[in-house]
Amino acid sequence: MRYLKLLVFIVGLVFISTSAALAVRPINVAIIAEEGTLVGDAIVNGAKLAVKQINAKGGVDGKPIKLFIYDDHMKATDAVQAFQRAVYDHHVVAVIGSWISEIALSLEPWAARLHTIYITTGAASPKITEKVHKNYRRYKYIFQLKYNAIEMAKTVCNFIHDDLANYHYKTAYVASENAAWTQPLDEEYLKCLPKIGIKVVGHLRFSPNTTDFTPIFSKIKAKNPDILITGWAHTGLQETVQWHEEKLPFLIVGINAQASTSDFWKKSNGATEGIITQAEGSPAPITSKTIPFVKSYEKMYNITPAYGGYTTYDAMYILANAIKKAKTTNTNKLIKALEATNYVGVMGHIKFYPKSSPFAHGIVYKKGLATGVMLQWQHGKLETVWPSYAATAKVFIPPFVKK
Amino acid sequence: MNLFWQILIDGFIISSIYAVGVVGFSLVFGTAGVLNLSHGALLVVSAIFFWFFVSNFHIPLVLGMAGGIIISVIVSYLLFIIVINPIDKSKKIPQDEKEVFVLTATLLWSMIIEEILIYFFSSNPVVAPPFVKGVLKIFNMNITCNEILLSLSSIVILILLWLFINKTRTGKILLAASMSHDGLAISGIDLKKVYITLWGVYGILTGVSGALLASFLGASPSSAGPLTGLAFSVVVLGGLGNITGSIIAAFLIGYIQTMTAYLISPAYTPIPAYVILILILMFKPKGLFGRF
Repeated sequence: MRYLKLLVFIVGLVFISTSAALAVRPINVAIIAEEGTLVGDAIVNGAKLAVKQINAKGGVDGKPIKLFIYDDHMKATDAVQAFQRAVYDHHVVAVIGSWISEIALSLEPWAARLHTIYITTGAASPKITEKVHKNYRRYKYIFQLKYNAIEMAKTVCNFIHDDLANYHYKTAYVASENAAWTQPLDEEYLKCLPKIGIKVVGHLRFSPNTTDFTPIFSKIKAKNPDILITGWAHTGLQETVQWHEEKLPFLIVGINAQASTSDFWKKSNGATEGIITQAEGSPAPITSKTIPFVKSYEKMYNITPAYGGYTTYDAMYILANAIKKAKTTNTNKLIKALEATNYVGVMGHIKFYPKSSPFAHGIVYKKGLATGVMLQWQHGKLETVWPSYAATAKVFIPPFVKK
Repeated sequence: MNLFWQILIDGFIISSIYAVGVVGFSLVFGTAGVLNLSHGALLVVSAIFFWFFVSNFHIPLVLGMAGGIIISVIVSYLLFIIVINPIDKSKKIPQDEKEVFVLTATLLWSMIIEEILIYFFSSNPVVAPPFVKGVLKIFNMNITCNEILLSLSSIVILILLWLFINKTRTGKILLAASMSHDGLAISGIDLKKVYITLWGVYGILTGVSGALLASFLGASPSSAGPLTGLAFSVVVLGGLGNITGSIIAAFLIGYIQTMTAYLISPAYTPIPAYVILILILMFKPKGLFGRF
């Protein structure tokens, strides 16, 4: 009888501890990012902040989210290994991250093969969503929570049309680094600039390893453009400094991803004064959630977020909401819930394009939903200059630039 | 005509900075027989610390540069004490395999430095403030006074190095070491002291070059590999260990890159220089000017 009581006690103990363990089993999510880079760090930081807030409010239906963070060292092979480890070893519900299009494209076949949701929150190539559109059954696992390069170019053109009209700028030179995301970006620049009355007087692409921009600027200067239109993410600092030091008389407008965070002022010793760049978010009233998010982020990390911070923060909330809505972490049900997303985040009102769209599973780019912002460095501060409802300052033209 | 002057002036500026950046690599190979694959990492160390001291403590540029040079000398000595010397003294490593061990160890040392720099400073590039401000308009070109100063400083450094090696007793000992270690030992010169001097001079050279790079091209931890690659290419082209050959080769590569950027496309800047390098390795393996 004594042995029977002991057996019952042990079985009971095992049952209770197993149930307790099962009750708090976390929802595993992987972050794959390029740590040590401005955008990569922002991806990790945005995810951590969102998870901290979600878990502080009781998690997702009582279950906490657990992050597994991998550094891909800007290499596709490391990213693929991390993806496999996340799925096989950590049984993640979804993988989020990477700002490099080449890496996101290399992860897509693995998301399809391993039937795992992958949300890129930094890569801009439209090829990412084109695959989903062309072969939905195979690639339905992939989402792009970031404006693609075509939409980014549209934002730049819309800004020039809306905010630079008073300066009567007529000519532009397009200069982008050679990368997967800048090909469609440049193509769209070359289409949309003439439509807004800007003549393209030159176009060049340069190696992302370029450090001396003197020959490039000499070529550009020879064409005497009013505006230099850019597609810079791997590069950005050296060009900015050289433009400032040589007092080149054209305005720089476009994508200068490194310039979208507060750290850039110090890194460029203030040479970034006057630079205008597109971004997914900014410390501005884009939605009611944006400024509180930036304040929490700055408090936690002592820097304003680069675009990957805004997108990944929203991605974590969108994923959490989808799990709540689907009431399961079953991948197919979760995909349906993600496709039905209708969420006001820190970067705007987010909905995903349907599978019939060439940008299937990309975020809908539309006035009233989400369009991105244009930022400008003014007297050491990163101001939002477009769209008007989120603007914190008007455009300023540096003294050495023609007006 | 304008293009000619642009290529001539821009090529001269970039080549002179390349020359001062690679001359230390050549000196260490010529004197100690060390093919130091952490050369680029040392340049980056001094560049980043120069930027760090100036932007965080708001000290004068010269003081910041001195800080960068001191750190570079420390890292140079650490490389010698922790990596090079133990391999050189090891009895477990066969003599004829030591070069490969040094090559591998310096490569690993470079990777360690790179990871440490990424951890503390991130992999984002930094640019140090210019030493002088202002722009000069020459042949319809905007050339910053800073570029001119950096270029002239590079030439002065190269002249000082030449004077040091050829006109001072210590320099002549280093020159002798590049010819025969045994000869030096027979003459009663303490090789240990020679090495201590060599790695100190090397640290100062990379420290100064790193600061110049930080002020003109900028630097990031990931620049370490390409900078070592550049140094390696230039030194192979000029003749391993041949300092004069390295300087001429730096100007050759600098001008080829500049001409490619101006006449073909900035997207292909490094390619012709590397093609020429491969051809040199195939048809003139001792480099254009041979070894000492």
